[in-house]
Amino acid sequence: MRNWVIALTTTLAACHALCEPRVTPENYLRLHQLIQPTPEENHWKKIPWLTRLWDARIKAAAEGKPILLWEMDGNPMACT
Amino acid sequence: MFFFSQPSIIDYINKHYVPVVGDDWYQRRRTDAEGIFFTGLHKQAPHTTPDGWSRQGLYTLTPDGRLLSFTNTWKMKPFMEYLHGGVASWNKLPPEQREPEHFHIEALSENALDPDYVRTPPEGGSILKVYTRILEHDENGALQICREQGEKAWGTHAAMDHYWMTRTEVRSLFTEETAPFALPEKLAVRLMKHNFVDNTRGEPTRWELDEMVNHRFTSNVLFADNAGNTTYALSGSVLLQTSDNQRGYKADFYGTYTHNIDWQLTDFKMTVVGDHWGDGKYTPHSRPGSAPLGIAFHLVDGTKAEDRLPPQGIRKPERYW
Repeated sequence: MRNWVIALTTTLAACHALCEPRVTPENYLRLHQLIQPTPEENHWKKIPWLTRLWDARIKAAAEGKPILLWEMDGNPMACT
Repeated sequence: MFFFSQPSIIDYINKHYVPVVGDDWYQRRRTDAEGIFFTGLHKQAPHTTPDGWSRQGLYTLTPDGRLLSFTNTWKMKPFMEYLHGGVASWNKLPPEQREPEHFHIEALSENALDPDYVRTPPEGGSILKVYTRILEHDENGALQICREQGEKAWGTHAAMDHYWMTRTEVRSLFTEETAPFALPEKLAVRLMKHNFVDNTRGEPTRWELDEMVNHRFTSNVLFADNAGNTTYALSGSVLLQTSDNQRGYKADFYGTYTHNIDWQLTDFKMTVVGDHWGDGKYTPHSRPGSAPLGIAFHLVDGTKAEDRLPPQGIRKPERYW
């Protein structure tokens, strides 16, 4: 009988974990924060990326510098 | 972003280069002056894809379009050779090919841009920033960030995207009634199709309508103040699944959003967490079985250039709106 009660309790606890929402009014801001980029992941923002190649041409010409172009399928700053 | 998070690389780029990003899907198709310029650059680069249909990679170039160095790998040694090689090639150029007084480049007006391949946020609409991250459970079952070191850390970083709404769509988030109501189906489908996806290892595969097995998006008023601000809760759940069950996402979500007296969206925060399984076309190497994937949405005002970049799903606008 005792084993049966333990098994039932375990099953109910597992069902509770699976069936209950993981995101609640109480935890959604904490989880929201967890998903955001960490400060380390945001270091790339210390590079002043432009988003238009033509604008980069104008800036590079004015500053006498070469251009570094990061070209991906999916904008590097808005995908992956 | 891994390489571009290294302090020595950040310093080097900031000292020697003008950095810019581009989405090759648009850049290789556009036929305006920028597209022609980019095509001319790409023709100078070695490339590995058949017929050069993809022009992805890292280029260094002069303002007038001369290729200095190129790489399309993410291994540290060739990456550093590429960075240093670009500067070395630049320094070898004669002064008339690199000094400011020898260049004269006119700005491109907005109406000179190829309208088929330039996307701008809808006038009077709203932009949500979207971050996505793979998660794991700690020993107590709580969710935490996956920790990997070195180049393996890449897929554990938060991925980014955006979600656009028109002014009319934003207005449809609000009600003058007190009863709970369903989020307009068009907005719910757009969220699921383009943003309830795993884009943490590359371009995501969107969900098709027949893969939206079930979903519930319910809004209800939480409170209103005397100044005309009203805050709502948005909650629900989804089951997204391919017909062969090789890829899926079972998740629930909760968030809040607020409008002011002028029916403008002034705040939006929503968190989605669920179990994801399977690979997308361009996102292989998912974790075995199903594993936690979290998605966070928040409102941005669009004043930063990076926040105005188009959503990944809007390449073909008729599929987005």
